[in-house]
Amino acid sequence: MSSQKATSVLIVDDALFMRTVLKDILSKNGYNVIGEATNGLEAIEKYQELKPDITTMDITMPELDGIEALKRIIEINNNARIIMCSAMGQQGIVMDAIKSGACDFIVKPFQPDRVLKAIEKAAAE
Amino acid sequence: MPSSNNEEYWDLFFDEVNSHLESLTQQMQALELNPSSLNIIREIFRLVHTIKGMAATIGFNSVVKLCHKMEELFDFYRQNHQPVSSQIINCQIQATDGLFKILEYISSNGEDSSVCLILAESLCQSLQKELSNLQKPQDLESKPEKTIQIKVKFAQDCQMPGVRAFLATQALEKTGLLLQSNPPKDQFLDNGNLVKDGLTAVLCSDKPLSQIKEGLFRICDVIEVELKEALPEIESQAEEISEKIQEVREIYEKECPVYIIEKLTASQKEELLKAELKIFYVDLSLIEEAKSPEDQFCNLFNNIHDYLGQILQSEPSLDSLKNRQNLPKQNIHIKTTNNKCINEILDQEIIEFNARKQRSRLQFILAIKGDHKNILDFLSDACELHKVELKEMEFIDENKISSSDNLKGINEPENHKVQAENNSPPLEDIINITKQNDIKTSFVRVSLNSLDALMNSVGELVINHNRLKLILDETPNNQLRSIIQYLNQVTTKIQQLVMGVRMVPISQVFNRFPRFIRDISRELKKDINLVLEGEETEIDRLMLDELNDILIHLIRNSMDHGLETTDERLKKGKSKQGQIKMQAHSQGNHVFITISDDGKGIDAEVVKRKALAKGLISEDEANLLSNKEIINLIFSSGFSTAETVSNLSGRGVGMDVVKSKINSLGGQITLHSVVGEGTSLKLSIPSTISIIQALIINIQDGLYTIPLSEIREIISVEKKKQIYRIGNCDLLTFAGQSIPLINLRKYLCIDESLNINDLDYIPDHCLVITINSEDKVYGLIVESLVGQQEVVIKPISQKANLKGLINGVTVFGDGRVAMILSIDQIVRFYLNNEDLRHFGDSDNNIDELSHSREIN
Amino acid sequence: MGDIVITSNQYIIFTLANETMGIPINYVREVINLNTHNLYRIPGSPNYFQGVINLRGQVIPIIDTKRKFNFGLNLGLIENPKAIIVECDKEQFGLVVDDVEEVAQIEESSIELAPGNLSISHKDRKIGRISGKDKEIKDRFVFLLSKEFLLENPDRKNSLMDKVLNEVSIN
Repeated sequence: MSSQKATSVLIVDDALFMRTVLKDILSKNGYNVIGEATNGLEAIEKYQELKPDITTMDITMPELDGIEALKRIIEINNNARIIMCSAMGQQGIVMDAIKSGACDFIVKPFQPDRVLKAIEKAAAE
Repeated sequence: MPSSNNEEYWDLFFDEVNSHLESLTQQMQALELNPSSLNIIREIFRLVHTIKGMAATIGFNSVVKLCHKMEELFDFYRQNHQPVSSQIINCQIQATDGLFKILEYISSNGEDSSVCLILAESLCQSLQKELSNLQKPQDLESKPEKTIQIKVKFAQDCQMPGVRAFLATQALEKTGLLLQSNPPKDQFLDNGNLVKDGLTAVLCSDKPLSQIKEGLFRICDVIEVELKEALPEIESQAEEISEKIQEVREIYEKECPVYIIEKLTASQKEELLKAELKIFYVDLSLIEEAKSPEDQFCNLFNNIHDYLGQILQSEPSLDSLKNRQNLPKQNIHIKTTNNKCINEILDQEIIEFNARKQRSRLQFILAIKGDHKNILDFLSDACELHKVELKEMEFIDENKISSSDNLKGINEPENHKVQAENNSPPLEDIINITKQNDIKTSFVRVSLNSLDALMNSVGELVINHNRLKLILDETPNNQLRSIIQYLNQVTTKIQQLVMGVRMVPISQVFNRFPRFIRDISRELKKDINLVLEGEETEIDRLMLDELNDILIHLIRNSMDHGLETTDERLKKGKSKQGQIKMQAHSQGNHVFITISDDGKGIDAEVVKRKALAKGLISEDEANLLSNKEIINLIFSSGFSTAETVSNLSGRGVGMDVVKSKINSLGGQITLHSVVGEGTSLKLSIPSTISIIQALIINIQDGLYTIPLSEIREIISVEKKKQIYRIGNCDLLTFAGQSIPLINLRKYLCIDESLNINDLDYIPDHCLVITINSEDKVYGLIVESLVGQQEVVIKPISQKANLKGLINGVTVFGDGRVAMILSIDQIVRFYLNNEDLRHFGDSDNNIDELSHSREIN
Repeated sequence: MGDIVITSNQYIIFTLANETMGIPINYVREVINLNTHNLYRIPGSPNYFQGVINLRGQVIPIIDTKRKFNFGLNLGLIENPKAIIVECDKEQFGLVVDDVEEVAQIEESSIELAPGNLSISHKDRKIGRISGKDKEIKDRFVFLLSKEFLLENPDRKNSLMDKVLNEVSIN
């Protein structure tokens, strides 16, 4: 990882706490968190501005939810790699997200190794 | 037709069949865009098949006939993977139309007549023609691909295995044609636990195995992948197997009751006669995946005994059921797909299937006071019902059959068997309640009434919760506080759930339009492309029903008046194909729907001439109006711009009707048009009619609420420094902006003597709530804020709310009532400078009235 | 309750500014004492709507019946007005009346069309005959309000007033 440029990640979540937890996990493991967004609309803006390698996307957010934001980002870039962050029991929504083009999902509460694995796999694509 | 006795099920039948037909139309549309999709073909096949089954049950033979032919044609495609030609799609669409017509005829005339049969026959003929054409050239396709058996295992602690399995099938679909997966996709989508142990699949692909493997390993939680290239026969064998299974099932389903019920004893019979009970023969089976049928049946026996009536006999008997109760549960899915033992498995499957089938079947004779409906209602509540047959039995006069040595107490179901064998029309007293296993249709129908009732109750719950909170504020109590907090959580959750249930994607209406446009555009000889956007936007179901007609009207207008004919377009240098765009999105509490076309636009001059000719405005008035205002005249009643009246629009029910309808829904419509470029209509409609967060304000001792979603911010204002008067308009300067101020007192007609042109009415320090309306900012002057809370919107009679200034009313915990203001409407009145005072008074006529009375 | 409309010949008889009127009992949900309820104004409503009340959690618009009938405003204040809560076409309204007298049976045969020159008028104007309160007066006449009256479009052009005037000129 050290030889390559670090993978850039955009974190989208309306809860500051969640963003902090994710950011910690990622930056400790050599990923470059280049931005954060607190809702779907901001996510789309930031995505266009920062062009991250990977975006983590919370599902339930104000203004524009994660699913909608995902769809719009995929519209902008069909190859966007977006990992959905879901709570337990949101299987149906996650399925929708996958059908709409999300490449993977992680389930809250976050377990660092799972998060890293998902990001790693997404980065390798 | 022996259908007359079935009438009580007609509502159920038509309700369900109509929803199937709707899906069918959608699927046909989808097929047109994607004529080689096997999934769509299968779905269509399934739908037609379901309709056929239902129609056969209720005895509508023309429907059965037509469906059967449609099915046959799709079956061909289902088995020969080739794209469906557009000619055949057309043919099928016609047939679907025919189905609609036949069913409509039946439902309005109450019978399946020869007219229907003739229509069905003629459609069948054209379908048959297509079918024979297809069957002639049996070109054999070569298959360069290999068939691969795949086994995927997921980690033990895998989260949402269903989604993982879906990702896996998705990855496989990228590399080739996924022939089958076990468990099947629709099952694990529903129940992720099915794939806890892994997933097996058969894939047809020309890609190297390593690539497929790699793709699977890229999915998280995939810990093991096994790929095996299968013998080429496996595919056909797999198909064969599934067909054979299907065949067995079908045979079984068709089979008539084999069980013959013992004769009733003389004393039993006498008792029944005395009690005036009706006797029913009931043959029911549970859904395939029903858990422990014996338990269910035992419960059923108990419940029937308690609530319904008396079971005279049954097969199996209650005792044997009780004994069988503890049998080990059988597993439903085939676990291995080893090539060699495939036939064994198949046999096993059939045996198991039969055993299961037998286990989930119960026949009994029931004596009750009620009728069919009682039994059906009861049964469908009491167990996981798949299918039930009911037959009422009659006592036979013994004297008449005295020659028979077997004195039959009742007319036994053997007759019923004979009838079926004779291929006679389906029995009158049979109804199938088929539960759909398909995930797409795994929903329960809820009547709007009960949803409304539920919503109302939730509203009451919220009101009472707020009352409790009020008590808490007066007498603080920690124990109570924690209870109320918990109550709050639960209430919120229920609220969300109920609201969620009411919300449906707008696609339910949007999806009807591709078909609609397709048909009409042919008729009009205009080439029209429809673009749909934001179909997933959710809207209250009630709203949706209301929207349908409005949208049809607007789209018709666009097609008829908006878009030019192809020739006209080419002459103007436009693209040959006209475009209509339907967009939907939601924002705050509103759903916005835009319908735009790239047609000729609305010419203000033409509108003006029309309005003058129709006497809607005078010459003087016309000269004062801006172009935009003139164009808006099309919303006034009695206006229609069509030069020629076509059979689609321009029939006099014009935009005024549309507008008042939208207003009555609490929505608005605005129009924007550029001559030569097109017209766009924007509808804004409240997405729901129930519970909102609102700011409560006080104006002259009256309480009013403003939906929080409408509010930008609240500013504390010092009059001298920040408010200026220009003409008769007060402006607030804030953050470099000039914001027009609206005096709510005037528009809420609170103070009739108030001179609103006097700056003095504004206190030296006041609060201004800024709001957005049609992209402009306005400020509302408010005396004081009372608070913010969740309020339940109760509708108010249209007759009392003629000007639409309020969106409804709400009741607070302490019983006080507050109006929920319609900000957009208030702004509109402000802009029109309309004086609402004395509205509705018969002015000075009161005096005249007494005068006229005197004369008389 | 309310789903099944039973046609009966029973009417609630009430008084309004010295007139006696009747309304079919089918439409009537209850009669309330208006003084015990707070009235809340409805902005933008026609003036004959006095406002709404909160009747056990239900919000019900109250119609100032005299104003709606154009009876004039100077008929004096009624000390203890009642409101008849009626339901038609799934909406509930309260009709303010001076007093409620009785429930009376009026047979179809004793109902006739009202003459045009009476003080109130609506499409379906009918009067019925009921037995008098006192023994001396055998019969008296009451105006019977119909459902159409309650649903009438309050648009000024079609207002009761105009109709009255029209009829006056015709007569």
